[in-house]
Amino acid sequence: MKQTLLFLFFLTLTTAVFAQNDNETYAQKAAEIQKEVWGTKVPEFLNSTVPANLSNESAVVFARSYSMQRSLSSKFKFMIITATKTTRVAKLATFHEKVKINDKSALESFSTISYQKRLDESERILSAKFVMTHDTYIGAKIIKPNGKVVIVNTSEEVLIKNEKNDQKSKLAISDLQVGDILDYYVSTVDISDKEMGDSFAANDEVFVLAGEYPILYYSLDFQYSKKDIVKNISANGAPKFEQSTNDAGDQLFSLKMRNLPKYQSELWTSKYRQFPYVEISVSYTSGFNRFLSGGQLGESSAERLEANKTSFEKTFNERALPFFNEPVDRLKKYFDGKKNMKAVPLDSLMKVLYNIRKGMILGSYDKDDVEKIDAVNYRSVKTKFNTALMSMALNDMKIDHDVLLVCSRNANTLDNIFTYDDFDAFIRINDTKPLYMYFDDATTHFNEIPARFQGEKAIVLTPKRENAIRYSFTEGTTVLPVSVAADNSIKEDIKVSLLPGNMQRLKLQRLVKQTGALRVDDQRSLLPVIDIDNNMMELSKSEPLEKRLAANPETKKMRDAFDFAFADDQQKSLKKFTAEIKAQYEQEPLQVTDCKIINAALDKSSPVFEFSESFVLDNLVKKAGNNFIIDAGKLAGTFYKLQEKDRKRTLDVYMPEARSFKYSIAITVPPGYNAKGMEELNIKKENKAGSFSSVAAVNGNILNITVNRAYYHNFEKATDWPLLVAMIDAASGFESQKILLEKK
Amino acid sequence: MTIKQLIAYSCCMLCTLGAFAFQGDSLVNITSLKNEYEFKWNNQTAKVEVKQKLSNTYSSNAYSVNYTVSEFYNNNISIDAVSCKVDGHNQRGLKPTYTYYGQDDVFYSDARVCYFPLVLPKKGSTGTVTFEETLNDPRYFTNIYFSDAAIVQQGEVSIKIPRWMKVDIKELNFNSFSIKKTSEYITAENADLVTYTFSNIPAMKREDNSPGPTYIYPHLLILCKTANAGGKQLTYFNTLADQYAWYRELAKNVVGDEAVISAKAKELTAGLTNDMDRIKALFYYVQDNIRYIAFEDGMAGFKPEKADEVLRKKYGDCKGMANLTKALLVSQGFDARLCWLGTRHIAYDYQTPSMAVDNHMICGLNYKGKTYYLDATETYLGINEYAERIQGRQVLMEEGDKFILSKVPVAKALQNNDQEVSKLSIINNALVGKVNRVWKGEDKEGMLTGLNSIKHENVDEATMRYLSANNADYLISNLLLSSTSNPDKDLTAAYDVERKSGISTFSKEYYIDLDSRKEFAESAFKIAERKHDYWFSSKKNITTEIELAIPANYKASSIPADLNIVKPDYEFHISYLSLPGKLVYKKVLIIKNTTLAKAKFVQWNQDIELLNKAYNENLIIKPISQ
Repeated sequence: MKQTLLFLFFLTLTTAVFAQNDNETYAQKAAEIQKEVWGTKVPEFLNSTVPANLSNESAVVFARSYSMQRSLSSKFKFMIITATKTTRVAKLATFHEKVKINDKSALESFSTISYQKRLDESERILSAKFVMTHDTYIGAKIIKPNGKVVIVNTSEEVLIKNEKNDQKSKLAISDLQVGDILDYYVSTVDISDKEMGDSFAANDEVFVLAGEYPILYYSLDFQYSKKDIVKNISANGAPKFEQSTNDAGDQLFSLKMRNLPKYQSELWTSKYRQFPYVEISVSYTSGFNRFLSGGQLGESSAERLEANKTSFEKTFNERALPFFNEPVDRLKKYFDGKKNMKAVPLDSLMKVLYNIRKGMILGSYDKDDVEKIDAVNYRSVKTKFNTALMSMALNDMKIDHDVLLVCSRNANTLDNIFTYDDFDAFIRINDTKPLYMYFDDATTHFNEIPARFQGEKAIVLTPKRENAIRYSFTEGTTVLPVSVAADNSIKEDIKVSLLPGNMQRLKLQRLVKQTGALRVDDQRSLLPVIDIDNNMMELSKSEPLEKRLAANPETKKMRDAFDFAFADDQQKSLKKFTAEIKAQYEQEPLQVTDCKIINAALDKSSPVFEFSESFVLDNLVKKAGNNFIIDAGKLAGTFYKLQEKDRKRTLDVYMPEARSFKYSIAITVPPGYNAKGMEELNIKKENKAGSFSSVAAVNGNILNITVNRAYYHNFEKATDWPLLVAMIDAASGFESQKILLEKK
Repeated sequence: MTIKQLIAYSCCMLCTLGAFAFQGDSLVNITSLKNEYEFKWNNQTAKVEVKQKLSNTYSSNAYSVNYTVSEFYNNNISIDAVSCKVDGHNQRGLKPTYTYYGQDDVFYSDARVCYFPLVLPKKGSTGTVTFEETLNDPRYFTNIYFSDAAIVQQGEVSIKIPRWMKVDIKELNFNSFSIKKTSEYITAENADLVTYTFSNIPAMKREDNSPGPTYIYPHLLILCKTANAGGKQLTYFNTLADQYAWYRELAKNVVGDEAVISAKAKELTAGLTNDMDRIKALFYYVQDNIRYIAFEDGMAGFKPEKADEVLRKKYGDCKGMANLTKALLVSQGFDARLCWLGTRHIAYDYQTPSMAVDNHMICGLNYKGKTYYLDATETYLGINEYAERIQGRQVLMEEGDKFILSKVPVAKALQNNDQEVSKLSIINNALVGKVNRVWKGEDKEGMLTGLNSIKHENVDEATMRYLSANNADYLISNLLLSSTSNPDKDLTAAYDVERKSGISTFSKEYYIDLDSRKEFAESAFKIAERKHDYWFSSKKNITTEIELAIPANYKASSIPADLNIVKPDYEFHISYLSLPGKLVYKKVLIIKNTTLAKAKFVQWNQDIELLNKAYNENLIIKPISQ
């Protein structure tokens, strides 16, 4: 506790320094910071002994601290005829670390530092100056193995940008060698008069409690003014901040941790679900407070969720979104009048409505899209905004529906929602079976839940229109359904023959059918942009491209430019298919021909993305005497191979989705040859996590190999990892299987 | 200086306005390139300046083209004016950005770039961009390129040279390009106007392992010799002696505190009585303890940092490292000198005195009648080993007020070696046995650079992944890696292996693919796409010997044919030797000449095909009874 107080004293003192002495020179401030950072005796920063069990690590962090303090002061800005009151925010953040350098890799990592030394983005509005500055101060000292301390001369920095208001620096740490201990800090001072940037989202700081190197001691300290509204969370088992106030009423948040392991990347993990982290943010503007019904300021997860939910609910405002009904107007037009709509089953009606809205969003372009046509297929939409808009439209149509709030399984949980960006929204239409609308990208279908949300708990909001600017909501919860392996599938028919002129080359004719989550990547990369546009417009009976471009003042004179860009994109088709083949077989294909998109699969009514191609592969046939050996296992592409270190696992497994694959390979056996070795290709493995099987048989002159592989779930407990390992090994074992074509 | 600096300077000198990268850009063509240079006497500074007016007209091949126009400058070049007209009108909101030009492997340089987006709205739109610049020292006026990041349809470069200015112009890589030269004497100005007109110059294209730009692109090498103006006689690089004198001046008094250097040298050589041991101790200290950090800052790009400062900082660029190496050796009584040289990235040598000639500095040591060239930036090469990039390069060596021109020796391919010797048996349908690997010369350096970039707790795993070529069926155990810290010794690895992927069993026959590495298998060129010659980074000498024990009652029934390809630049040999109870596979792949000319690509591809054919042929072992 004493240490904490000492440290906090330092923080307070420093705040005072920066709040009161604006006219000090950079050097003076730098000297003061150095004195305070290194003058404050934190016992953990005195430690210089590496524990025996960490002696083989590249580097070991004895101590790391991050401290941030901010102060607020009100200022009057006098303009010519009026005055405005602003709040000046001063923020001092110091990252301090003491680390033992044990090898050249670590030496390289710690040997240079780049930083924004000064940035002044202050503005003058009329006669008033709104300050916005950023300054960085650094310090470093080296403790040699013999105990000698060398202070690094930071004036040896080089300025890589040296303008009056913008200076960027680089410093090479002198005299640093393997075996040394480096004690360094980076302090930043930010002063801002601008309220606009002082939001929770902008001030959000996240600390995952694991590092690149083992950390023996880690402290996080934050000091906020009493006027600040501070929110924080400790997720996935991270310790809680210790909260207190000082004599001035400042709010103090402190966390001390010891022996943090280093972060090691593993296959199929979800960082914000599986690693402890803390998140803290602040705002002096109304922020969370505005949206809260109770007197609390969102200290608990329920209150934070409530605040964000309220914020979302406020977007249901017909005056703010006066065109919310346009999709419905277009729907009436699609069916040639409201009367005809009544005869249409609800699911069909809703599908068209979804496609109309999707077409409205993704069928419009801005002028910059011409320059980055490759990125158009990867555009995504604002999900919460479009969900709210569609919900209001459905409400107007008196369609029974709910709005679902949910988090991606690759991100934080609902309980750990912090800012407004931390969750997404869906529509659920309550027909005999629920129907889902999620506005995501051009490839997402009506009634399709992206894999990243499947199985997630969702908040169900049932909207009720009170008036044009207020909707009320009743609330419940649900769990989103999870697709099974068959829903996310790849089926390939591969016809293989040895080239007559060169029997060591294989010709492959490949027909690929993809469904569910497994179709999306190839749809985005292989479908020409104009094909997606045409398809979307057909599905929604929308205006032709020319009319849509003309409706936007930015693009109305750019028809030729868009035609050119779309044509250019279409011309790259062969290149895109070649890249797809290369990714599948990890080798450059030859003679790529007959590349065809058979079904674009942009609508639920025709959901299988289908394409075909023909090409030649080298190096999959070996010659042995008069015989040939075919790398039959590689004809289905390459399979993931586990490294030895990945065979043991303590973290649960976040698979992207349940999924299945089927490869039907038909190899034409050349005349005069017999196929041998099929027995090795008859494999069957199955457990509760997945299955792998392959069957090989000769029928006439065709050798048929059928390979099936499936992962049954999108999540497995770590204890079931061996079951997945068995499937991964079976697949990678198959890859090395061969067939002998023996000369008769 | 480094290779990068030459590129940066080349960019500064480019007569054309380039995009950031030397990459062909089909979105625009340059329909007209006009670049005018003029030598002028500046009375105020009492210096000769080079005024440049660079003007390119771009034509758009697409719509809404947003093409980044850029021009490099530095401490010696100022950009005085920039203008841009699109379809005859001033480009709206033209606000060029002037900023530091960062390069990945250069810590700091004075290279700056001025850039802005040229927005061409329609296909066929034209944009005319003009830069006016002043170069404040003719020494830095080194070359003028005729090619650009885009195709140049029509171009004109003119240089106005007053008669008081002596300049040599060397025409390089004109080859079959349509380039015409005219000269005209302008009486009123007592100046010569040299004009080059050219057309259809292809866009520059960056390719991996290609020769440096001075080998590839048509350009002029400008040699500014003397000036007699403003009542002054100024000598630039009239002769190599002038250039040396300039360098020597910069390299004077660069030891710093001799006592510090001497004490360090004494400490490093304590107990060593043999001269060569002392030399090695000093050179290897610099190699191992001074981090290479490239600084390219105007004059500092040519002036070595003081040796005592490099020693204190434990980092330096090539000049600083050479200077420290020299200072340590001299303090121990050895005859060590600074040496300037251009790496093989540069086409020029000291026959054309110019700052464009060199980009590197090393230390020369004269010992017992032999000169050793010590390049401490090559962290893991031994004392008598030379990196490909400096082999055979001309060296300008200190000799008091004079200089010596010599050459770095050219090493044979045997300097480098990547060797594998294996003894394998067939056990449970796998190839099992022991493997010994040895790396020498630049192969050793490559391995050690890789190993030292990895966190040391991960070295074993990374090594195993490298040795197995990331093949999960190549199982390594009992790995023993030799010490990585002795530059005089080869790097070795010994391990046990179990290979499941190199053997297939059909009935009772084994089909065996002995070679798991297959070097060069994917090195055929796409001849239609590759524009430039290919330069290997180093000579190669890859040797593999695998001894396979034939199981009892088995025989080798089909042994692949040997391969012997011998070309002046390379050799590929594969052979199988059947001996009682065993079969020995030998492979020798040698790259003797690291330059493979484009004209030889067809032959190379044919030879690679033959190599692959040999790689793709399996050995068959079957029971004697069959």
